[in-house]
Amino acid sequence: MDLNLTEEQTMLKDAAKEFLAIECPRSLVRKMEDHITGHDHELWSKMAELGWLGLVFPEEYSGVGMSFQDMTVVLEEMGASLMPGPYFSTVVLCGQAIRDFGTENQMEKYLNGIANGEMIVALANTESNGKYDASGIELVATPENDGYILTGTKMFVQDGQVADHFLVSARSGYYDNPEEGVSFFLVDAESSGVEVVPLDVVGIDKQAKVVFDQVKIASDRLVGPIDHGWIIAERLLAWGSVGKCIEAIGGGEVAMGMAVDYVNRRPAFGRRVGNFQAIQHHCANMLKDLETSRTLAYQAAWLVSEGRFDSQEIYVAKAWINGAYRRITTLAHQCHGGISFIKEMDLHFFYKKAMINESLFGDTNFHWEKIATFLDI
Amino acid sequence: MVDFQFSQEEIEFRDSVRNFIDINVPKDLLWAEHDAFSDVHWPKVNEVRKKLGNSGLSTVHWPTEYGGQGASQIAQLMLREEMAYNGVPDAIAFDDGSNLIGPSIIKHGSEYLKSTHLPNIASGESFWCQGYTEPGGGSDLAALRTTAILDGNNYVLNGQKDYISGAARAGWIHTLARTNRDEPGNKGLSYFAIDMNSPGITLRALDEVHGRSGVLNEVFFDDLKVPIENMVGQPEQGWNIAMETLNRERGGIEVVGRARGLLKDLVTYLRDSHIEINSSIKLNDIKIKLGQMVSEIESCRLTAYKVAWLQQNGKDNGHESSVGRLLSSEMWREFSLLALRILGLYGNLYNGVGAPLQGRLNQAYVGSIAESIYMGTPEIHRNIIARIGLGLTNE
Repeated sequence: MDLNLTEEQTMLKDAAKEFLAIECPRSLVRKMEDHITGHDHELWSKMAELGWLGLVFPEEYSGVGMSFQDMTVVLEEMGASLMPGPYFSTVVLCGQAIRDFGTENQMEKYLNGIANGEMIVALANTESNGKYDASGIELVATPENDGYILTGTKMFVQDGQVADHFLVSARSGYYDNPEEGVSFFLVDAESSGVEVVPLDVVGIDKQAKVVFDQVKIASDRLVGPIDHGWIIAERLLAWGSVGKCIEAIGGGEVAMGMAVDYVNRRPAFGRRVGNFQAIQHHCANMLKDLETSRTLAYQAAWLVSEGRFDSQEIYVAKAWINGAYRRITTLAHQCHGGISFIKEMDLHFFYKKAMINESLFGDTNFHWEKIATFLDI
Repeated sequence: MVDFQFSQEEIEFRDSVRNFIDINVPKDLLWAEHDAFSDVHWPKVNEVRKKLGNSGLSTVHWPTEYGGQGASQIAQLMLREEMAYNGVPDAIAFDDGSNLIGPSIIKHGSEYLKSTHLPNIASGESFWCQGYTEPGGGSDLAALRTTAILDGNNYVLNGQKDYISGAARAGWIHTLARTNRDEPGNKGLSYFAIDMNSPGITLRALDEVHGRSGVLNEVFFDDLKVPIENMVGQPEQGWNIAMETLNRERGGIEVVGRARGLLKDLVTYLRDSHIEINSSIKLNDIKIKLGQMVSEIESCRLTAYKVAWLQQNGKDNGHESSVGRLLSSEMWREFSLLALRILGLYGNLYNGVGAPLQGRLNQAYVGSIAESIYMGTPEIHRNIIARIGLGLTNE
């Protein structure tokens, strides 16, 4: 057992913190709340220069060749700084999927494009049924000539507004087991028949409804094996849930820090509110939840780095941190009193992040059910 | 580099603990926590304790010069977890001697105390209890009123200790008494190792609401003479030594082990359909609750190992064991409540006909009252976390 980050990871984390403090100030976050895409081109090209957009890609595709665990130290800082934009969709989800399942030509085109900051890819997976299991994938892929026709609607597509391409899950075959007959395709957002309808999501996250109406795609846009693409969905679920856990500990630490700092300054009844035990216990509960979450998240990230995507510990982490991030942000608001529901106070961004994260990549019940699959019942 | 894998030695150690349990612990002692100190069970418990001592497993974390193997704290945690998971009574594996007073004597004790006690603790020959809580004191440990007055070569102790586990079977007690009555609070306290057979000690047994009997006692000291060489460390240094001692108790691993063992048996019970699972909705509801139970237990388990790793590497800040303890008391209540909700009316049976798992889950839930009090209440641990972990103060 070893809980130490490597020297390289520590340096990367410090560099990320420093970079985001300058390039992603709260003023940018606030500006992005009502922005249609939430995408800041300047920030994006600076991240490309730093190599962040290709952090986990092989070097031959303009990448840095780092591990998932390495990337999580950056994700933690992004969570702490509430960084807006399509990093998670493009790099953590779609980029890694193309890296692991794409053809050489696909990697050449998309990984280079992403790493150089020229291409944004969003995952179009969930549908109006809101499910994360295989039965939720209903959008139809029909073979035609030398390609496929996609018809159906994807919902809650994170960063759909700003995507140049979509990584789309589709039903290409019908079997008793819904996990069979799932395939993934890369679709150019400019394709005829693709319509993007922005959704009003709380906080700084951006999601869209994406309609695919008889969209023709060439056969070389298939990612992974036809009908056996569920393995990609499982991996996306692991990257997504663990990535959100990591963001949560970054955000949770800042939210808790704001509260502790506030209660140490705010006078009441001739003392500071932080002198009162009721408030101290709120703070202790936040630290308990934060530290427990951090260990769970690091363990889950380690498992992903080891290639153990279907691990009980990953589902435990997401289920537990879903609750913990919500509890931390709730208590942080409680400690702030009245100012906490005034918009100029930034705490609400974390509260809203925790709300959104709770249902992304499987809600708490979903993960509890996953855990139960490891029990012999 | 972040790595959550246990080492090969640690894995082998865990296997040897499992092996020890298989071979040496009589089946009727498993899950017999509530009457481990009874006349029927105690002789067997004591025999297993000695076998454990002779196997070297209970002192694996001690330095080699005192007969240990210098193993990691993680190995020690594994021992406690495996024992708890299999339902081995606390008196065997969660032993005050090898876990609490032994390491304190190694660190702070005189040569006399080391040579007198360490061999007997290691071999399981002596059984120890701890005497900290006092009536009227409770969580405010530093308010303790037991006095120790120097008289020639002895200290003379007067006072009362409350809720003392295993006192009726213990040969020795480690305890705090006030040697300087002019120093209030946590100053003026000294740490003693006392022979329970000394004249001047009397006991009164207490029964507990979750069915344990003969475990807890009130312990009275009346003009109890304790030789001065039985003081551990220097006079008035007792508080720090006691805090160090109790810190080793707080990781929460035994609760984790117990919960994992009970969950395994609950799954078996449900699978064998003692309760009719008459619809897929009901089954799904059960699975969700079981998943939640696992998630609570595993979070707690990981934290316990993290705390051990931090302490072992000198990276702990001092509040982490309180996080572990707080988490484990909350987990135990949540875990046992979920189990009872799955069991419905059967969950109300605490023994005999129809009681699932011989009522152990029922006892677990009633026992969560106690679980949220001893080894420091959640409120005390929150105070510690706020003060040490976050630097908050009362002034």
